[in-house]
Amino acid sequence: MQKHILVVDDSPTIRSSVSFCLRNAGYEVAMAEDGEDALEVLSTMRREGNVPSLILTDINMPKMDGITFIGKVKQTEFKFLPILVLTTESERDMIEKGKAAGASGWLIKPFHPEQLLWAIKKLMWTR
Amino acid sequence: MNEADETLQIFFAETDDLLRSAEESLLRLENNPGSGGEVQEIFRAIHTMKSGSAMVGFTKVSEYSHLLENLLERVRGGQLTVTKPLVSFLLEDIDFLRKMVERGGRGEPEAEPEVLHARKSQLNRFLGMDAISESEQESRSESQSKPQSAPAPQPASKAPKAAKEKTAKAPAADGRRYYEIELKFRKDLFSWGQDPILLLLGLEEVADIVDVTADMSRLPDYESFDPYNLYISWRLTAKTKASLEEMEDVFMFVRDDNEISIEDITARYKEGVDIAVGERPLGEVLLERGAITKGDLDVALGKQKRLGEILVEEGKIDSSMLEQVVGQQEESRQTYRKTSVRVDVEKINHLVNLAEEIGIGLSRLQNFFGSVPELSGGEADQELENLLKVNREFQERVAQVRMFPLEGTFRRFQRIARDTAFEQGKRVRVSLIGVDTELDKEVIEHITDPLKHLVRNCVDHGIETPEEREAAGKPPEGVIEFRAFQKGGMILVRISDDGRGLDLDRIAEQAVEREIILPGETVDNSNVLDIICQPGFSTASAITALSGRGVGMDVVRNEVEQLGGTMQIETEKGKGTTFTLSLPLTFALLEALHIKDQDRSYLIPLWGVVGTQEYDPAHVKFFGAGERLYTFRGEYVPVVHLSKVYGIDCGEDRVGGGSILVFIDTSRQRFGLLVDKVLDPHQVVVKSLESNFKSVAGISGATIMGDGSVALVMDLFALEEMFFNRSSARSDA
Repeated sequence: MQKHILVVDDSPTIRSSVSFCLRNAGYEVAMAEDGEDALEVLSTMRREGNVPSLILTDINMPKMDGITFIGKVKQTEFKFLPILVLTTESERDMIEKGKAAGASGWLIKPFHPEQLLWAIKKLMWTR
Repeated sequence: MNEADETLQIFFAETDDLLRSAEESLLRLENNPGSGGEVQEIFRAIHTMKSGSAMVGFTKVSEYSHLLENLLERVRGGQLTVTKPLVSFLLEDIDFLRKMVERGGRGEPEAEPEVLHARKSQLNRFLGMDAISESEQESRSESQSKPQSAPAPQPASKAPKAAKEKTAKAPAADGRRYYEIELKFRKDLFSWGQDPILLLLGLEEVADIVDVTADMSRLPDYESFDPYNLYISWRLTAKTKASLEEMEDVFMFVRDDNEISIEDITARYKEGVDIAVGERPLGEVLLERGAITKGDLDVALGKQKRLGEILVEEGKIDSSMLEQVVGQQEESRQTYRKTSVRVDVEKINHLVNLAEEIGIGLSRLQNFFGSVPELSGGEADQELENLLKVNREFQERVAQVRMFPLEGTFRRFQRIARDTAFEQGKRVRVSLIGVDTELDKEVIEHITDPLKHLVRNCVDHGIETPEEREAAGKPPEGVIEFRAFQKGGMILVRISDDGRGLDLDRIAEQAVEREIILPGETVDNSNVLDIICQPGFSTASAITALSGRGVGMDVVRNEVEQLGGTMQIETEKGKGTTFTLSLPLTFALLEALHIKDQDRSYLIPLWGVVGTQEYDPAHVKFFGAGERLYTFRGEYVPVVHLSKVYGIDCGEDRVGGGSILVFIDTSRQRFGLLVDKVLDPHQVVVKSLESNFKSVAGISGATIMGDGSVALVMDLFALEEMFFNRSSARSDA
């Protein structure tokens, strides 16, 4: 069965390029625009039995930011899911904040598809 | 349309939206220059542009957005005021970005170099009031726009970083190096979405694992086993051509919050490596390999001149001076040879153990003598007493071999403090007091990392910049003091700074947010340590490039407590912070008072005992449900039956007569323990319960007594905690 990855980012460009890369690598991708949206997507996925194996999330998003979102996920049954934070060079302090909230790793935008897959491999069973 | 094109189309549409919304916000800002919300909106739009454009390969757009982001950052931070010229400039910028995207979309270069350059210079003029030089910007953007450079410092293991690699001293024949890797993860690793098996598999991809040992000693019995916790740690030996950095990359995400160490052990790894080569003269090695003959070597050596001879020849010194100094050197070497040897610490530990065994044997003999009337008090008994004394001294002396002065460690911290301060434009004077104080080598090794963290903390968060200090009426140079001294059986190591002190209000806010304390509870010197030692706790101000990445305060405290020490903190706003570590002199020996209760033997570390007294009911005041206070040296001290603290049923309180009170002072709390019998003080070697059996609350280890029985060694700090939790639980009820 294919593994599902949830991508949370307010930028459609990032969502599109990331999901392009992930689909190419053989994953199913679900997308959300912000933290609030992502929580809804998560509960829909659970109802449909498509539990994600990993979450990729941006930090700086409208409505609900990534740090709050991670905190919420940690209060659900998904608390052991690996979460990869997408951030930028100018927001390096977000790495620490993300980790404090329970993120498993981070990736600095822009990144190369190879780097994305490399980071995912560190956090998720890929074989 | 393929997916790549589709992404590009999405990017164009997004750009359109973002720039339009930025434009609208700008216009609103022009009418209402004070609106922070609008600035935030523009900032977000440009920020999103920056990463999006980079992802689709529009590097110039990304680069320019980055500069613009810097500018907006300043507007947001209030360093730049919103003026009409600024708004117009920003509006032009939006057009400029739009144009670049359009050009790029048509397959043309995003911008002509001259145009881009002119635009940047203009932007720099707005930024220019501050210290960002144009050349710096240029060089940065150039390095960013190199086509193949990885976009950002990334985990990428692709490019071998040959330049940074450490020079190999003695690689194995096939160019591979050996590493020893220690992986000690935090217990709650899983709740970070991490899986140690993935890390081990990741390691296997870059290296051949030669040897693995899993340390299961922390694994509890199945009743207390929590499947959500990780109890296992690993030690591996790996052989690889990969660089140290590539190895470290495997643990990139867990490195900062766990104890991961990777050490290049090629030089001392035995397989196929001659570890002696480095110690032998070059000529000898070359001769052995057949590269030169004995004759070649002698000729070459004959040509060699000594430094002294050369200097005499050149008339820089006369030969009597040379003789004098050479003579002194020789004398010094002779003395050194006579007075010091290097010994493997294992050998010393072995001696410590043997001395202890002898001590046990002698004590048993003494017991036996005591039970035979013809022998007790006689000459043989005297002789035995003597032997015991000699052996005690022997034990002490052996333990001393392991002791080292703290000087070397302190000097390193001095350096760290200076470097850290320098990087941050701060000024620090370091004062070292008590550098001769000696500590067990093993204790020193264990506290070095925690202390390093504390030192960095002091500079990072404690010491203010010279300007801030002057404004606060302090000398511009901050002072960090390291002080070590002995107090009782403990060595106290104190690191204090005269900086701004911890921001207790802020810590309280964070603690409430993280539900460590209840709203309304205050944070002061008595509880601040417990709060900042919560795993992962950090105030926003506590995150900087340096200390934010090292170990957390929780790791520091754990390390100290595992050594049998304690940590204290005192902080005062505007005055500074002091961390005090109380550490045991040595692991090897413990002075302890032997007591008995309910026919069980216990040892109380002598440093904590302040007195013993026969229990006198007249001195007791009862409080609530069985709470008891006892007057001891004019003070009311809570007392309790020892077995009760350990949860051993001792029937009804038999505190009539005959019981003895042992008063304990942990320097945090005083309390009294009611026991059946107080025996002699002993010097004992503590064996870990944890590694031989399992960890028991309130007990730090065990030892074998003279009569062959086992006595439990009390952990006074844990005991204190159990004692006071128990009392507070009771008074709540």
